[in-house]
Amino acid sequence: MATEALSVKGDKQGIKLIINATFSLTEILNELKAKLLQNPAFFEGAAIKLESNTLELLSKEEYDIITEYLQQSFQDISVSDYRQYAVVDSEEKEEVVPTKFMMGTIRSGQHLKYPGNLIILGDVNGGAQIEADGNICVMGVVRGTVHAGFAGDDRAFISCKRFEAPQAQIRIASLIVRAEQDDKTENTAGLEIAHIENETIVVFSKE
Amino acid sequence: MGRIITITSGKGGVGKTTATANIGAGLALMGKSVVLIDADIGLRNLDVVLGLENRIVFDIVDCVEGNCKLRSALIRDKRYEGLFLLPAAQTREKDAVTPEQMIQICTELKESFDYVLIDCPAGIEQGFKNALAGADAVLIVTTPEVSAVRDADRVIGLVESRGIEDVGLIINRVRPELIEQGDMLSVEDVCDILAIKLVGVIPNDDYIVISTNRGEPVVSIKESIAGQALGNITKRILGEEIPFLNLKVKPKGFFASLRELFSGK
Repeated sequence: MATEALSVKGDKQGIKLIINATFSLTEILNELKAKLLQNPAFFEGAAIKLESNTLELLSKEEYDIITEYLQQSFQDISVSDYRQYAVVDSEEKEEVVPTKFMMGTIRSGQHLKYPGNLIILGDVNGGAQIEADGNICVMGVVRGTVHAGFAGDDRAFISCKRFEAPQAQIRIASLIVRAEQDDKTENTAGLEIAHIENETIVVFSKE
Repeated sequence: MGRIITITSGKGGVGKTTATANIGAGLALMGKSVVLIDADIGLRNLDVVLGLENRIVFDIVDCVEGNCKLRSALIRDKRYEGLFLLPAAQTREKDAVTPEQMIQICTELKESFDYVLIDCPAGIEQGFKNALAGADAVLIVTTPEVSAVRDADRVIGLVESRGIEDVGLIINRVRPELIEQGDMLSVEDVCDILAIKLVGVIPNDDYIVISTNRGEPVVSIKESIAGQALGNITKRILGEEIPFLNLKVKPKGFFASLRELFSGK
């Protein structure tokens, strides 16, 4: 299947053209031409749906070229969406944020700054400072200052085993709060997450 | 080939010098040859605690500047077989010695001694860098107070960043009755925060004050509980497995309470 640039499948809705986008556009078009010449009657008046069977996706331009070619070849053909996510993807690219792992405890006086996500496999002790443009995930206890969304991203969050009051200070984007002693909520699962809700930093613990 | 151990804390007044003097004396009592280096140039204390103040002729700066041989600056403690002190200069400052010179002294002493203990000054400046320059292992002294623990944490970070992996923790001046009341950080709390190997717990003890003022190490005072704790630390440094002292407050019996009541205490 993956060795062909294009395969044709029919179902109740119509005809599905499954495109292997790892092939170049000319290869795909040549294959399409060959398939159309083989049995032009089959395609006449059909509803054609374009799909990709690989992780590689067609760009909007490539999709337009194929659609145009199909519409030129047949009079009353209707080409429907090349699977939606491909189109969305070309407009708003899913960005891969760099992530850094730090082994061990971050101690007083140590300053970490990273333009991505930070994962700390240890505690963040009092007097330590951590700044990340993305999210911060601390596997241990936070006693120092942690700043997620340093560059201003207010969707960033900070997770840890526990924010220790009163030393810990939580910063997300441009907001700052101190950790508070809260005896009411039981942090049994050992997970606390701080994020922004209605323009304030909220910490909730998983029970 | 000897082993170089630096005793440091970050914060001042937590008992670095007392610990150095006593661990040194303890190791000497166990039959090891030990040299203690006072790295606190300008504020020397180790000689006073050991009661060797009046025997100083040459000091570490004299050695470095070539005024004397290293061997002739060493003061032999007559009470402890195999215990020597390399005193600091009192009239100079920390920058009179460089880390390279410190390493040179340490490697020279390492040849002929089993242990080289360096008493580090408070702070993380020049003196600290000197004291850490040649270290194989580090002992961190702290007290169960947030300020001392915070400074210890900072120092551990600096030590680890130099690639020294053998870092032990000594918790000094522990007061079990305060811990029981919840007014003092417990040994477990401190270990939780600092996350390094615990080498010793020294309870608060009046004998320390007495022995320091007399210039006699407390390890040789049998009745002192701090002396016992320091003796245990010495043994742990030598690789023995010694359980930690039981520092739980003993519950008072009925008769003991009665006796206390009548004696008017």
